[in-house]
Amino acid sequence: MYRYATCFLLLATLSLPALARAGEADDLQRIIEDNRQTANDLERLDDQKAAGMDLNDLRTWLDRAWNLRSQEKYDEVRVVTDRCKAQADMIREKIAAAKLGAKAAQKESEVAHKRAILDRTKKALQNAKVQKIRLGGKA
Amino acid sequence: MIKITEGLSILPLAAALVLSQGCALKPKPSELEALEKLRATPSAAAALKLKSARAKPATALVKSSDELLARAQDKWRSSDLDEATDAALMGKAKLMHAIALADQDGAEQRIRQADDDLNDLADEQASVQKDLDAVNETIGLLNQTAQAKEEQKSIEAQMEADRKLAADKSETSDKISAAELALKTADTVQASTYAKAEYAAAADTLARAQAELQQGNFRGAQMSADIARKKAEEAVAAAQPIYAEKTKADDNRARADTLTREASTIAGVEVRRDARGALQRIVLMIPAEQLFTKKQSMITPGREAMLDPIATLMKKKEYQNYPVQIVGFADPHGNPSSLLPLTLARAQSVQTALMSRGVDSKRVMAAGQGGAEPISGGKDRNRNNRIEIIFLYQ
Repeated sequence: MYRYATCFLLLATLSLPALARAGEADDLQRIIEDNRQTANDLERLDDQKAAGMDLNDLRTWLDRAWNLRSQEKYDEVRVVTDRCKAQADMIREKIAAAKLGAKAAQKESEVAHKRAILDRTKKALQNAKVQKIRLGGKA
Repeated sequence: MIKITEGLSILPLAAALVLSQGCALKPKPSELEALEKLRATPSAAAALKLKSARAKPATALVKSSDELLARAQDKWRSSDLDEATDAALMGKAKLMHAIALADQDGAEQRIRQADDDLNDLADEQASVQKDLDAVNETIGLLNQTAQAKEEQKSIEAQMEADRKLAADKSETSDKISAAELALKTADTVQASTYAKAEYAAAADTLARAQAELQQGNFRGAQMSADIARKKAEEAVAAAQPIYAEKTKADDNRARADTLTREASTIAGVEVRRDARGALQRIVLMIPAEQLFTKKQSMITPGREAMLDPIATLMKKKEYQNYPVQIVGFADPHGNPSSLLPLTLARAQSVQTALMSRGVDSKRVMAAGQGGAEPISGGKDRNRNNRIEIIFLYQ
């Protein structure tokens, strides 16, 4: 009986690192796939096409992470996935900045349009005043 | 020996080369260079100066990026290029994140500024538009006034034109009427007969004037009417003397006819008409025996009565202007020297008798012709003894 228990413990001790490594590979795979999904979502969000190069970098890094995972270089995979997360966060904010920039440009365009209308109205007012004086009205 | 010496002298150089190769700095990774360049940009500096809620995360990101940059530089210096590259890439991601936050801040600031500008512009636009509307309204009123004035002027001009047209038409009608009147006046003196050329010219010109009036050519019509009137007046001037003379002759003839007719009704008087040169004569011949006894020059009493109707005739208003000769005649078969006084005396007797009956003496002239102008011979010789009362006219 004691002998069986000793064998079991020995087997368990020997198989734990293998099990742990299998779990880490799955975890990294999930992280990489999540990041790929994030990249796809960000690309759809990027209607201003402000982060095309950054998304390319992200996808390149994710491919590299996948390769590293396949080589079971898990520590290096984590370094790359951490960078991918930071890149994704950056891209998200860059897209938001681009959207705000576009909105600002649209508003500024609207301002310019309104200013042009105001200038035309002022000119029309000036012309109307001249016409009024010409017709005998008071200045 | 020489070779050994030479080999010994090269040895330190080779050792130095090996050492220098081992300690030499490896080329800087491009990722590290990119991070260093990005960190030096104004955008990276701006990420540290934010004043919004993004200031804190942005500052933390820059700080983290700076730490990664330092680490990457360290790793590069220690020739651990992979670590250096990883750190540089992570640092760049964080720094770009911070810059994106700064860009968001800047964009939001631009949006706020644009919103403020839009509000200001809307206010100013409303104010200017209000002024413009007011001025345009005034212009509209002024235009209406000006238009009304123009219409008034137009109406007045039309009225003036109508008035002038009416005046022209009236003046033309007046001139044509004057010409027509002149032509009618010409008709009264029978100018168509006595001044044919002038009358025809006047009539033709008048017709032309009437045609021009119908055509609205008032100026031409007036000129034609004036010419027609002038021609008609010329026709009158030319025809009038002829017409007057003719009329007078006609009147005289008619009056003479009447006188002759009336004289013929007087009993015992024989009437004849003749002419002596330009003078016309109505001769009332009274046989001497009806007034006088043979060879007597005084009217036999009781026979003067036959002179009454003659005196009445002579006194009639229409015959008062006729000069009258009372001429005595005798039969030439007698003593001519006694016949002349006899016939004169008899004529004077008749003159006296007529004057006593109210005949104006200035009209009457008595004369004796003796045996001149006998009118009969033979058995009727006695008819030569006569008194002729002669009415003279032209």
